[in-house]
Amino acid sequence: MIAEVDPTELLLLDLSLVEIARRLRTGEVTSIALTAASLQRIKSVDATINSFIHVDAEGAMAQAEAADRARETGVLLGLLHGVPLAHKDMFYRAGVECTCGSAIRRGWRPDMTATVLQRLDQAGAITLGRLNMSEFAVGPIGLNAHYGHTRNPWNPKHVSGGSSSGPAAAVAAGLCYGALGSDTGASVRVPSSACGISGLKPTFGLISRAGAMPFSSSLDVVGPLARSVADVALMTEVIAGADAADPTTFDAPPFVRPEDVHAKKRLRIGLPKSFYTEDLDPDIEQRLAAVGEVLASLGHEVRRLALPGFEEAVALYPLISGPEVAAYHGPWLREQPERYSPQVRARLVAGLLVPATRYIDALRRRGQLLAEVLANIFCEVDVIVAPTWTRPVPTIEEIDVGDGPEMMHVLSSILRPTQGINVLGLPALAVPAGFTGNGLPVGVQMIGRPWSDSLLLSLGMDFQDKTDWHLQRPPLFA
Amino acid sequence: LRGVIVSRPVTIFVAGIDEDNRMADPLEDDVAKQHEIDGVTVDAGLLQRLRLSLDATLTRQRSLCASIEFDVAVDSFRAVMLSEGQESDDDC
Repeated sequence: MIAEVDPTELLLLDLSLVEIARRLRTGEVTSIALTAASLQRIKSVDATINSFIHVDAEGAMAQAEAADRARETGVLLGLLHGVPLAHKDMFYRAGVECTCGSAIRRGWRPDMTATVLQRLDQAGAITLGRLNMSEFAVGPIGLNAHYGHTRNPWNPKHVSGGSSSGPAAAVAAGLCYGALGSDTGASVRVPSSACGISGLKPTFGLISRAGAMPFSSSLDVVGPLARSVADVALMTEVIAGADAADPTTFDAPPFVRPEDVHAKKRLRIGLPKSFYTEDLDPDIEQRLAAVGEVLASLGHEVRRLALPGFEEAVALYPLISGPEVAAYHGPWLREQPERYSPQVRARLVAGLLVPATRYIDALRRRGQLLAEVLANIFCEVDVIVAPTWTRPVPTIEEIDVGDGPEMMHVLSSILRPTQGINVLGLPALAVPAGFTGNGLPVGVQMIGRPWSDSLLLSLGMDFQDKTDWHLQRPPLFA
Repeated sequence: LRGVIVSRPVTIFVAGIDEDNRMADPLEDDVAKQHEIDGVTVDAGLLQRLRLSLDATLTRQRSLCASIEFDVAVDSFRAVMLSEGQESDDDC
């Protein structure tokens, strides 16, 4: 049973994760009050945006009560003690349904808990429920034929972006303070930008994927989404680090808190003069230039540069992701193909057509290409700032092409700005950067060399000290 | 029609040779409305669209990447990543 919520407590939902975590630690606010307020707002607005697949009201209140009791006895579990979060429905929790946004996994209960969920639990976070997503994380738009489309909080006629559609929409609407998503080619950055929030696609190997639904194991990363970069940094601090259950995290350098980064006083920042400039919407070009001006005002050297190798990284993407995702889904494609939506099934089948030789060629080329990009680009600049979308966020009606003839072209055009970064394994931080003429948010991604996640977070925090785009709230939920 | 099997590592197409001794595209065969790839049944129209898209991708990748040097490292990508993690920012 959820108690009546004082209207003033709903205002707490607009505070940052960092600030609310501080107030919870000092006892200025209780987790019970916050969790009840979150559940109240979910109840009143989620019918409009459809960001949750399941809300666990009773479980969340029980966790909140336990957190408050612990604090009263002087026990603080960790950095996120009592903070209400929710996560994309692809992170396994033992005994709890995990649909992966699919009909095939409806009712499935894993027997293990994802490492990232264990770390959030240990840090004291509350889980409000499981968030909507593209079916099996296949699709950058955020449509879902089985659980309904997630809608953009800034205008429900528009897409939320995907595949972490629920996390982006829920955070933007103030239903939770932060959320975990995943990013194989776009899935943290594209929805973060479409919904006007911040999100980190970390360096490959920084954050464990153990217990997260696989898509393409060579490209998958887990990343946090939140309203500010400081909030994203706090979540990253909790979940980053080596994990015996995920060998890709072995030997990764330790994550450094952004506040402790000894960043160069004057970073060299590159804005693209190739690759991203093709078919770039004028509104977005203008926003990108404005971001460059803000960064220059912070004392950084900002200049245009070409991006050799980025086009090739995009070309390698389907040759790596296609066979990997098709192999994972092979048994279901053979035994219950009718349970996929047509578009998802068509994209999975495409992976069956890639010859094994070309898959291996693409994997071999990947390391060489990364070395070339580091030598040719990241010796010239420390950070690249580029758009995450090259067009304004479209309406659902405009972009719902199903598995028709336009499918590959439409999806490729959305994925193009982001997917090559996964091939290269680089970190990229999405931050809000204004709005286009249709009133929908614009985001940019700050891309760095491997393991520069903390530097990007530090730069993003400085950027948000000078801008207020991350403080804007969708009019429906302000 | 005489049957010819064209195999790929994960793909098997059953093609044919027509009366003029030309290789027939199974997708243009009126009889073949569906095809099986690695045990997965695929509609012929969708398969044709996917193959066209894949052909474009493969051609594009080949043209961008003229040669891939033989690399002794089992996982050169990981080696480059970890090497980067051990270097200082001033290395280049």
